[in-house]
Amino acid sequence: MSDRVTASKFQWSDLVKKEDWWAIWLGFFIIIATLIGKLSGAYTLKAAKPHKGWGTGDYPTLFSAYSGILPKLLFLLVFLGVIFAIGIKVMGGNVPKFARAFPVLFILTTIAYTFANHYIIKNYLGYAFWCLGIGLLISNTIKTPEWLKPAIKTEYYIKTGLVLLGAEILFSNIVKFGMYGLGIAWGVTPIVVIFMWLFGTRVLKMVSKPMVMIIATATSVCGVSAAIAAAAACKAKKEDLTFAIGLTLIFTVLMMVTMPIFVKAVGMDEMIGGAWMGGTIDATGAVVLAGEVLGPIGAQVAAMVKMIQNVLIGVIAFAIAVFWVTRVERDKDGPAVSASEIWHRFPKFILGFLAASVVFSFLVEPSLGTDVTKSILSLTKGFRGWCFALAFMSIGLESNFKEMAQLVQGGKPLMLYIVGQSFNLALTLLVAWLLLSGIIFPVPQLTV
Amino acid sequence: MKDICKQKKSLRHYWKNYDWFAKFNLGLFVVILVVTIYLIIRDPGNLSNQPYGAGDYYYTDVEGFEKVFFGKGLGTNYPILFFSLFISWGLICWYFLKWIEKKK
Repeated sequence: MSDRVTASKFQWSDLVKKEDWWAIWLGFFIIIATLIGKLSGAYTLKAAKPHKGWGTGDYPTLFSAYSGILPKLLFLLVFLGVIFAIGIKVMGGNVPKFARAFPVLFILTTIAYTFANHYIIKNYLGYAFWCLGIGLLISNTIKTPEWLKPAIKTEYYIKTGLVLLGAEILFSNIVKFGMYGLGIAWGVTPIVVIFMWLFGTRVLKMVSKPMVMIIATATSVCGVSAAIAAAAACKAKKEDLTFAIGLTLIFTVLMMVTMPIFVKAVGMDEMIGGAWMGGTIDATGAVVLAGEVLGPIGAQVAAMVKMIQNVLIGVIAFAIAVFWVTRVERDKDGPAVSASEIWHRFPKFILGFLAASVVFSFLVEPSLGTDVTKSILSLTKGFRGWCFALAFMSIGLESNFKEMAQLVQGGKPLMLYIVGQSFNLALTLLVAWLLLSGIIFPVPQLTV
Repeated sequence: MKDICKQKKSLRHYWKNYDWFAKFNLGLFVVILVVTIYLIIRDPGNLSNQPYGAGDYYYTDVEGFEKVFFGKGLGTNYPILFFSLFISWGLICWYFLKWIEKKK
């Protein structure tokens, strides 16, 4: 995300010359290759990672984190290197330079994954933190070497990862908690986004509008994943995304630990507490973890509410992309933006993101069944994670603190997050109480 | 030594030029950061025994997501009403956002 995407007239050659389209082709190539492997049983295409939870149990030492996976990591390095290189070659990039640099980027990302998968650290700080941290440490101390820069392709990795993420957005999940879930997740989310947008742009008068939108989406939808999708949809700068993710990572830890303690201390109903946490804690894993502390019903409700918010990423990313093209980027004194102009400016990979979601929701899941779909997603998610991790490492490697300091704006991003999240907490609690306390609708009967 | 003095001077100058809003935010940020680090170290909810965590950003990242998220749910007996409400509310919010941005 080093530069903002600029509009240009569509040409058929864009399909092979533009990064947006290559992200779609590569995303679908991975999805289709995984699907064929799964259905035919001929092979299993899976992205390896250092073992999760190393440091105890079956993987007590650092070295055991890599036990049995080194050949798989090597295969992944070659696989990702080759598919990304093909795109770079066709787009006119320098493949030999990319090929020299990519293995180093891959190794750095593997190190970040190793830290993130430690048995204690995994509960608090995920790969986004470690990738950004290692990248920032390198770029602000020894400086990112020139020879490594050809592999730093932040947008390329993010967009490919987002197309893969699209497959994981299953619309059938939206009905999981019936009307209760729809009210809590979908009723509150857009209100919080609009509130934070107004607060950030009108009250705080923040310079970077993409940053306002990313923080608003991360706060109201589901943290890092939503921030990535929003950043790509509104053509944000890499520093905007780094700030939003930094804030969401810190507050996720705070809320994950303190909210269940608070819910128990005040004697709040388990179902209301679970819904409250599901609607407000940013990261999905943190919601499940906090829900488990409440109890089985609380955990189930928290997971279902968060699951619905996960589905909302697709809808909200699409809405942001259109809003940006038609309102934010539009010349205020100029005429209304025409349909063709919207098409020219629209980030095309969003189409791949939505197409993957539609195909998996309305074609793959109904025809192959939920179990097969889940097993396919359990394979594609690994590649999506790697694409995002490579992107975060790239962002870290091309960021410097001086540039980032200019975006601090006297702490306005922090204030936006705190005010927005407080509003989110109050509104979600109110709606959860109205829907689940039995004063308007009957209390849902859940079995665990 | 001279450099350190220079840096100290520059920091003092920077701090003096900061307004109360920025000073408040900086203080708040430091407090939040310290509390977060304290919570990670002390693990008051004994969360490290669980296989899930804040590093699982999306539902598929959660270990055993197939069981965690695809268990028993409620569903809906009125899918048309359900999706109509979903789309209607989205459109209302969308047009409201467009309207306030136009008003500006």
